[in-house]
Amino acid sequence: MFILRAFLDGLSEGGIIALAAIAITLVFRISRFANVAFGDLLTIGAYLALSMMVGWGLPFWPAILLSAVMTGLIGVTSYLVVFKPLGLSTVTLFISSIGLALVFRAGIQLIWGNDILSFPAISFRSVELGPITIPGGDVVVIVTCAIVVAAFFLLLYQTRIGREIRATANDPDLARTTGINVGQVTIVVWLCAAMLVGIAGVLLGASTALQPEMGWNLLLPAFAAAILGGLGNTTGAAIGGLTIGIAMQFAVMFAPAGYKPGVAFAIMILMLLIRPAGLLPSKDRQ
Amino acid sequence: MTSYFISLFSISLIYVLFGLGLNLHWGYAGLLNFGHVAFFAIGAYTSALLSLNGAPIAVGLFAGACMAAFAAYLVGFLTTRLKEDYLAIVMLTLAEIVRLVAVNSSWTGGPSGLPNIPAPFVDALGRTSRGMFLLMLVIAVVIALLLLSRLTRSEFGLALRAIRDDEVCATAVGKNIRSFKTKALVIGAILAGVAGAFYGMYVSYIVPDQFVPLVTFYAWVGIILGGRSHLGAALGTLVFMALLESTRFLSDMGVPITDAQVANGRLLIVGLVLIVLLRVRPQGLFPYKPTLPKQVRAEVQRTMSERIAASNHPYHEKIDA
Repeated sequence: MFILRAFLDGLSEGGIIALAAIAITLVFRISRFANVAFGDLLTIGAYLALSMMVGWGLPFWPAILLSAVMTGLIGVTSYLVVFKPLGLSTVTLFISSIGLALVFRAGIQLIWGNDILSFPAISFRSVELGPITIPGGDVVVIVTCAIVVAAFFLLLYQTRIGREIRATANDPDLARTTGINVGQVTIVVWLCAAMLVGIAGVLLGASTALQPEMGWNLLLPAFAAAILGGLGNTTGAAIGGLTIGIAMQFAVMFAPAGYKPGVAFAIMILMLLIRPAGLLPSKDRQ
Repeated sequence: MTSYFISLFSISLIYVLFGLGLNLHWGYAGLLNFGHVAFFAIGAYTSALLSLNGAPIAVGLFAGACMAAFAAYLVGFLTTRLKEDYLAIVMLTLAEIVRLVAVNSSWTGGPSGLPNIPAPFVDALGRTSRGMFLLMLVIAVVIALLLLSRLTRSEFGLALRAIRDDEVCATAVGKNIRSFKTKALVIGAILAGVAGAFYGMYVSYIVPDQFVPLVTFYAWVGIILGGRSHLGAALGTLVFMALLESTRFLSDMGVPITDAQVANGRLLIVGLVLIVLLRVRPQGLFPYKPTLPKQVRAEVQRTMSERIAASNHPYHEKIDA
């Protein structure tokens, strides 16, 4: 009973981590750097949804969609304004993304303040599953994550733009010679990634509370998940996210809750020791 | 006013020591360290815990440096065989782990930290001890600069830069890359550990919130502002920290601004300076100058430009000897 409960909690937290990890991986493959600013973009997503629900009285579902679109646009803008003009140096891009993350955080604190906020009480119907009751919030998070990830993989593997994204990720030069508009593909990738991050933010806000560091705190488990999945493999990132979410929930049963993020780090460091290439290493990366 | 300047420069010089360690990692060895604050925190806590339990201050300082070195050795063992992105992420995580332990353990004082850390000279000099502390920091920074420039001009330093610029080449001439990188990590961490110990003594109380990831990025801004040479990094960090720290005193001077606004403004400044500098002047204000003799440099420049002209290399603008 207890175990099933922890498993479901882990699944919902792991789903959110997986969304962020997929976004990080996607941008890592196309733009060749780990974008730290996604952590605080996730926070922005959550706060935007809050403003829409409280300020405009929007229900939860339109708010999550609109918030995803807005974070998507912020993501694309950040790519065009900050990252694209910098060229290809991984280090420069990485450090700039840290700078951008700090600017985002300052903006969040300026607009919404430092207090812990929460969404207006949304009641989701809880689901009876045999002897246990799954709280409605968990159901919403798990189902939304599943739908979003499924939609994303459909896009990646069943559409023309998805094929172009995968081709560009494998070899941008070769993709260009086959007539793929790499610049356009890159923008689509940033849009998708930032939208995934925004959705993750709203879900995180719905399952816990909103505070300016929520995204930063989720960023490191998401990095751990991306590394676990082989830093560059989107399927691996999804599996890595779920694994870390579930492991963190089970660890809380034995260790003080404060050490929960430590579990993600421990898994990551073990992985680096035993199998540095990750669970599903991407084939083209030496 | 004097005490204000003493305080401003003491804190800034502590960050200069900290930044010099990071510059050895990044500027000379090309190691992407985004969790330098971990070594700072380890130095601060080790030294504070020892001196609070009756050990002499010097012993605490030494132990702080040793613990930071040990942590760096472990990180080196874990990451030097992997690609550079991994060190970045492992260091970022290490910094968070150190902070998690500090927040959640009882022996570190938990979230309320460690108060009443003893500082040197206080017993003998009383109120004027702050001036002596500043003098000690100046001497420490000068010694660090001298030792570092000796170190990086030695064969060790040349090997480090060779590895930074071309790992395959350095391996081909028989350099043990893992060992060189680990040594660089350890030496830089010692500087951060010493800086941390000084910091604890200076502010006299430490809490986990003082060791947030932002502290690492202060040093990054300093290096990017100043350039990757020792002197450049030191000057960059000094200027940037002095400017940043002076915001602390704004409210004392009658400017109507709350502490939260100051903290928020600092975030914004660090972020914007990073983004703008990398765009406008990525090599820094005082960039690293190669130390080859003039004739050799001229010779290299001549053959390089000849070859580039001959090969029609598309990146010829970016190459300078």
